[in-house]
Amino acid sequence: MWLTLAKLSGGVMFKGRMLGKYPIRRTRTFLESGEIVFKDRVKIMSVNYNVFEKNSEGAREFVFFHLPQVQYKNPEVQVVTFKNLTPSPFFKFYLDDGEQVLVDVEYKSRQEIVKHVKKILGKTDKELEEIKTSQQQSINIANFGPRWPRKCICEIEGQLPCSSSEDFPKELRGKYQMKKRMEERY
Amino acid sequence: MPVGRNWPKLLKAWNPQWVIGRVIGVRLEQVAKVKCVKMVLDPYIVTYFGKPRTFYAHDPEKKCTMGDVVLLKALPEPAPTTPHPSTHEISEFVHQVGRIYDPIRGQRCEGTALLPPTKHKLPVEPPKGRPYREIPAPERSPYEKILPDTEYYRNKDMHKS
Repeated sequence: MWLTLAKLSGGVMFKGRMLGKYPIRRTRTFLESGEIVFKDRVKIMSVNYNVFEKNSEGAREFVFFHLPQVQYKNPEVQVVTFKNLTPSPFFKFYLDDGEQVLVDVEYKSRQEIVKHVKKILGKTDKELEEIKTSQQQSINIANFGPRWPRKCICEIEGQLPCSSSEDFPKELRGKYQMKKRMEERY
Repeated sequence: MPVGRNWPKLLKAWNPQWVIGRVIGVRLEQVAKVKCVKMVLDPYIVTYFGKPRTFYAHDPEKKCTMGDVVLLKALPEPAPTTPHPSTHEISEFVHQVGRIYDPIRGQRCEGTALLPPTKHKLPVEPPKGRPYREIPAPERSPYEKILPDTEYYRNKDMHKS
């Protein structure tokens, strides 16, 4: 399923114009829909490709569309690109223990490259689901506040109603309590 | 890692164990200045921009010239060099100036063209930085395959088509 700006707007006719070629790349939903999440061992990814050769068309499209997605999902990984250094395009991954993985990318389309890289060094769908569920379990449903769906304690059942709609009872107001204390003293 | 537009704070907190960078300074003794780029998201425009940071690498044998692309490894303790203590050491040359090898074909190349086997020696003119006679001669690169001459002549017109 390929994202478009019209789909993001929810089916409503989209007349606005964002700047640039394929500005869908500059939306958070596009960046979060990236498929490649590297394993913890991968530290550096280097991309060697050519700008005008036919053998690196897939690599060019990968860099144009999918490289920001990769960097968004893996902020700790350093992504480095080199243009027109060698006749053949390739990717190279540098792992934690000094190991290097070379991936030949000549005459491949960008979808094949994404599949291949995900298969070699990406986390599987099962692991990603496990991470999601563990993050949800650590969140307490009873929380309220500016970050949660219930903004104020007045929205919770069994608590006092909002002071903007109804006045507080007299005994609980600070004015009344201070007045009582002063009267007791003097 | 801090998030947002505070670039200096973000770059100061970036102390990785493995980095790739380009050599920009060679005049210091036993130290090479290496410029490494980190891609950082601008939260308003939602695009990635490269923010540079210089690391100081310890090479007492003076192996690198200006413009080499180098893989650095973090030292367990910063080495006491003057005027800057060097935090990393050079573990591998990714691309050397004038000596780029194509890892898939195993031959020396210049841009998008392969070079013939007669030109696999070093060029005569010294580049900027240290001259080649001061640098010790390299051993065979890990990618170099001993191919017959026919492999070059088969791929000679590759960049033209």
